[in-house]
Amino acid sequence: MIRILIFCLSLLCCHHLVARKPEPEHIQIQPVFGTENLKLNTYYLLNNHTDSILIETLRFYISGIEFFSRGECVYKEKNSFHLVDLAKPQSLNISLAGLAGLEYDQLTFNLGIDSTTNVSGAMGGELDPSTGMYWTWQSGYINFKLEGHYHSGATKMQQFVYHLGGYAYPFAGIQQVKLPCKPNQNHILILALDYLLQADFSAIHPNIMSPGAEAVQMAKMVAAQFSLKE
Amino acid sequence: MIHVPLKLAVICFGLAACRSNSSSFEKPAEWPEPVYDFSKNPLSTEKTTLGRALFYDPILSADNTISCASCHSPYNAFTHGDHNVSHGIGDSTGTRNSPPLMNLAWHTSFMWNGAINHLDMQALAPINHPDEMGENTAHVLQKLNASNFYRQLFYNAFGDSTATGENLLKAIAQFMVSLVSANSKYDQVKRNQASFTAQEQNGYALFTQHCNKCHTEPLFSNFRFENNGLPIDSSFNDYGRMQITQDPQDSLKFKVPTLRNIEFSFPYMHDGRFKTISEVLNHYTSGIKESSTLSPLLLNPMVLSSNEKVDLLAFLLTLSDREFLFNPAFAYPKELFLPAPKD
Repeated sequence: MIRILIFCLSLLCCHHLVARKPEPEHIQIQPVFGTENLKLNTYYLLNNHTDSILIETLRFYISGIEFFSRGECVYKEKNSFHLVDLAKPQSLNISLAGLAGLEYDQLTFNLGIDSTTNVSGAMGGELDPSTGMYWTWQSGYINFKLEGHYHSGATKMQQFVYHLGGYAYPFAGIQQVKLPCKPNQNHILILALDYLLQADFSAIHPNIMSPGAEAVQMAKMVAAQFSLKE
Repeated sequence: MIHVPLKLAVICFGLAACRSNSSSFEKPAEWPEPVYDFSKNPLSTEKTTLGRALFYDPILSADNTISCASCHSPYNAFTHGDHNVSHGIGDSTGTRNSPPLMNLAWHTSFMWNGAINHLDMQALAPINHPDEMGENTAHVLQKLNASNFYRQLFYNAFGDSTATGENLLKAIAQFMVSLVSANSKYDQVKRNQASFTAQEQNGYALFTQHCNKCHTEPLFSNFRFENNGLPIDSSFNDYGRMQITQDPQDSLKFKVPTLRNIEFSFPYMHDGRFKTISEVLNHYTSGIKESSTLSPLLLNPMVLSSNEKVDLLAFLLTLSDREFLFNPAFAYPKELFLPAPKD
């Protein structure tokens, strides 16, 4: 009887210890179109109420995740490279071990891959060139990939292909995103694509597939569409 | 695709027994330090063996007909002889002559326009180009992972039988980086193991006077991009380096090729427009087309008499390295791909 009591007590102690260990915090990435969570291969009505849009591919790199408190870095994720793919729900969730319990007021990350990594040869994991996020006609990661098409009226269709990258001056495409941020178990990181695809820019430039001024301009526009839902 | 059970057994019991045979890169004396960072891809016999198999295996192409060696034949100093521009899958032709492969550890960029920034990444370009191998990297990996032959070679090389993009590229890079040519007569003269003839010596003096600033010794390239005065071929409209930098000042500039093994690396220039070295020399004496991006070193025409051209040619032939060209370690790996001969 005493043995059973001791066993139960030790189980309770263990449970207590486990319960005290903080759960890792997460960044949950949520692409949206207007008020709706974005789904691939689904038509979304544009603001003119006649045209619609369908997105087939949305993939991008998030790297260099850091949290700051009053301008001082308090958390820097190691080996911080994440390939986010809307077709792979698990890739939308980034677990941040060791962040829980820290005080911070700002989240920063990069949209894309830094220039040093771009010139350092073959990488593995999320950076493996076989993921389709590395150009083959010239060296460099594709930081952001968005593909789909517009339906204008009943039948007319226009494809759009955005492969944004480039690491070399003057067309380095990586963009740093800084967002005010409070400690939270689950940070919802919104990427709003409706503004981007209704802007005149996308009508003028339906295809951007190489490094250059247009790619940098659009990368800045994409980076500006991130926000945190607190 | 190659399925040879007997060979597989040889690989399994032969190579696996000597797994992780690290090897060091031997830099020829007096040469500069290599650019390639070996610390990120430590050399081993097994990785080089895998890379060599991949280099010679058409499994890398969409219909299993074109290998790296199709356009980089060892007997042509690892370039594509007999064709002005190289041809790939389905007899498609590109717009350039494949560059010769040697001493790649010293190169700072790859391709005629420098599109590729690292030797590891070079193989992606031909594998995925629709006119070269017409494949895609992910599908190549599927084919390799379905092959017991390659699963064993990947295991021997990396301790993991699964082929990944990273390991595929690193293995091919290891074979390419092993292609060192440093035993030509020129090298032997520099090591005081041989002597130039009077004609070769005069040719060397002319080379030093006219060519060495771009084709810099000992690698015989400064690896920079230059416009050497070739009129543009309107059928290709190839503006070279400008395609990558988008800078008009790079218009018509191409990477300076090495002159090592030039005897075997014909045809010459980025589009293979010259079949003979004599045509090349005539271009530099009387064929330069001026333009805003022409190399300043070529603003004044090169003046060479007929005899001097012959002397210069005699020197250029001293850059042939037959030990390199016919090195069995660089050749088709028949010990891997072909059945063992019966005694």
